Amino acid sequence: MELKFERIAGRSKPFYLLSCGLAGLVAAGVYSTWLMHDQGLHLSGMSSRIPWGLPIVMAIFYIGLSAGSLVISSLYGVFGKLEYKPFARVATYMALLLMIGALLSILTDQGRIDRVVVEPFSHFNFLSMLSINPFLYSSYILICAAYLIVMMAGNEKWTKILALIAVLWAILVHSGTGAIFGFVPRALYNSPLLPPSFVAAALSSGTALMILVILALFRLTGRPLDKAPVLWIGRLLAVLVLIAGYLVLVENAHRLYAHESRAAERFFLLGGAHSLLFWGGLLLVGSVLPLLILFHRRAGASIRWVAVAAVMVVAGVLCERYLIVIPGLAYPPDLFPGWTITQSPIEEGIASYAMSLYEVLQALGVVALMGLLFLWGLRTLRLLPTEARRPTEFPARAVAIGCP
Amino acid sequence: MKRQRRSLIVVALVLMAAPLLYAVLSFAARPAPRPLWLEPPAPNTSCILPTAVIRYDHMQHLKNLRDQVMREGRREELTGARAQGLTSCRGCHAHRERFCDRCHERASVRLDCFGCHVY
Amino acid sequence: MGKTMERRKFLKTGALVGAGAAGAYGLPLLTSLRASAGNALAPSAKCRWGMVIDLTKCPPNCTACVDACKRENNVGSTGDRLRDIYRIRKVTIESTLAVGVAPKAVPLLCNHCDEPPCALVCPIKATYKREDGIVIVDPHRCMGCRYCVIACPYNARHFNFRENDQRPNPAYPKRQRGVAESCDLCAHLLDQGKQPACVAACEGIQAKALCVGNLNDPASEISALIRNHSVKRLREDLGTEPKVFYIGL
Repeated sequence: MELKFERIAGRSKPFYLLSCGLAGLVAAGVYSTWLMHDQGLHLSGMSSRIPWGLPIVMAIFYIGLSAGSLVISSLYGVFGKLEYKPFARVATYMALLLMIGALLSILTDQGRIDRVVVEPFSHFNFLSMLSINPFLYSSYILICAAYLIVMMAGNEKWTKILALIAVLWAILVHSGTGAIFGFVPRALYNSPLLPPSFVAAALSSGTALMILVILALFRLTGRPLDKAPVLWIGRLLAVLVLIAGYLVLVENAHRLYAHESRAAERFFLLGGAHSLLFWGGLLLVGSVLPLLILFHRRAGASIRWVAVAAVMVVAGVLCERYLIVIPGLAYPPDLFPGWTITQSPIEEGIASYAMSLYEVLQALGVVALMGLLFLWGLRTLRLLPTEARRPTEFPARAVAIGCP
Repeated sequence: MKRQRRSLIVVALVLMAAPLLYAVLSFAARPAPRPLWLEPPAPNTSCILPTAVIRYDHMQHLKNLRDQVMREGRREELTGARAQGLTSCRGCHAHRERFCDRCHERASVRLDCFGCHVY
Repeated sequence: MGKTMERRKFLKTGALVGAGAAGAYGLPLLTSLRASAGNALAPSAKCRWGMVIDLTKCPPNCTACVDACKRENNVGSTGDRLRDIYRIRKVTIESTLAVGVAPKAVPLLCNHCDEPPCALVCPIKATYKREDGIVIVDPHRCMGCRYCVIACPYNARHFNFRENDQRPNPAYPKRQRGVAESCDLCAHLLDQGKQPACVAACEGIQAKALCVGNLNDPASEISALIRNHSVKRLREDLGTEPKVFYIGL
């Protein structure tokens, strides 16, 4: 049976209502961004000690999600698995949108937006991760777009080549993003494990998001969907969550063990509200519970439970992104070993960060813009298949690995 | 259906072109611009460069000076009439808003100088 | 048959993914090799500015240097502890190792490292080390990414969160909101053969706790101070090679 892709009609009332709601959020985001730049970034919750806040947290969250989407599309593009072909176009489109969202988040976070499109491409410092990454990000967007175009044109040879390039590029992009933090000499940043752990968390969160997107799309548009490939993606998710969790575990165990980072790690594990995000958000909700669900014989074979696990993983990785950025900044460098600073005109010691409404609105605006582009992309591009059923000429692979 | 879509495209194009059209038409309807009046420099002074050069190349000159002072730490050109760098012009052209700003406004040039430098 | 084909394909792709990861690590590795080659000390330079702070001469409750710096460099202040800018600030430190040790007042400023982490991470070289060793922000270029603020292990960098309209010194520009800021050892004054504002202010109150001079000149006052006293630099273990020396820390 030939797989057919089509546009969604996009003429229903909920479609327009959703579009209007998202457009409203975009407008709110644009307004708060404009306000923050008109008045100064002090309107955000950022301060001298915590100069990176929610926009950067969200940016690295989107970057991660983008990689995971690409992995789903690569199941068809690189590995040639026909049962994932129905999802390949949507996944690539998502990867593209998420990277654009990430770039937007980073751009609007700069102090001088008027310089941000010019300077990174006219003055370089290839010793700086932030100088390499603009090139990686923009080229990644182009590669994803090219990949989507050849896939939609049905050119199988180039689909395969570009899919491979895109996946390799995604790994480069994510290692680079992890290195922005991992290569900086701060107690909770400095870690060679951060780039790989960033990649692992990226892949697991993106895979989880794709499960949710696939389920929502096929359910809402009333398209028939074969259970087996989604359940197999659930298995993949379980493996990715295991790897990500393992890397986080090793990183933190090392920090706790080494004398010089023990105090910092104690602050990370037991030092305040962010510790709750670590134990409750990342470990319990983001790793342990989804693993229990996905490896459970019956729950792991139920679409509903896999969806629950996917929601948990996405939430857990959002917590992890927060934990990468903020506690590392909040924990002060030890300026005078053996001494403590008792008086200072600025904030010394452990710094505090309270995100402001403006930052939240800006983040929501970026999410809404991606949602809007996604909806209207579904309406204008042939992204969705008429149905996603097991191709008859292929044996059911999902059965072979034990999914009912 | 197809007709509807086509008319939608036409409407969208017209809407997009409207600001441009408005600008062109309002520009055409305006009377010819009066010659620019710049405040004459203080009497008995001369510019650091010939008028034609400073008029058309002052931005390049200022940028070079900036990079020399800022990036190379070389201040040998900041002597005499140029001692104050960018704001040395104040010595002859007392009012920025009657000198710099006039031309820049007419030419729609957005400056990034006087947010920091006092002129 | 089909199984082995699949496996071969899988291995091939795996190897390619591995190569991608190696590339991702190779790049930073290569660049950092270049970093340690390019940023080495430049003893050949005629002038290498440094600073000595004698804590034994620094009066505990005096903020003459801080105030003079704000006046000279047009640094505004709004009373916002979280976001105010201090190119130089004075902190009080107390010992955590022994009781009964008298607290010390310590001026903190940019250490003008020979291996500045801020300049290393600045994506557009808006922050850079001048040939004479001064680490300086080019406010004409800075786009306000704040990566340097994060990379500085001395909390000596700040960001202009607000527009500042306090301009006590009309001869010197101020900064607009949205760019990074830190001490530049009053490079504009040093270049004219004058003393930085903080040093002049410290001399003005007869304390003479601060001294700025040429580290490459054996006859300079600063070289003599470093020779004749036991001096300490902040967190020398980080390998940043600061050029601000403390006596009595």
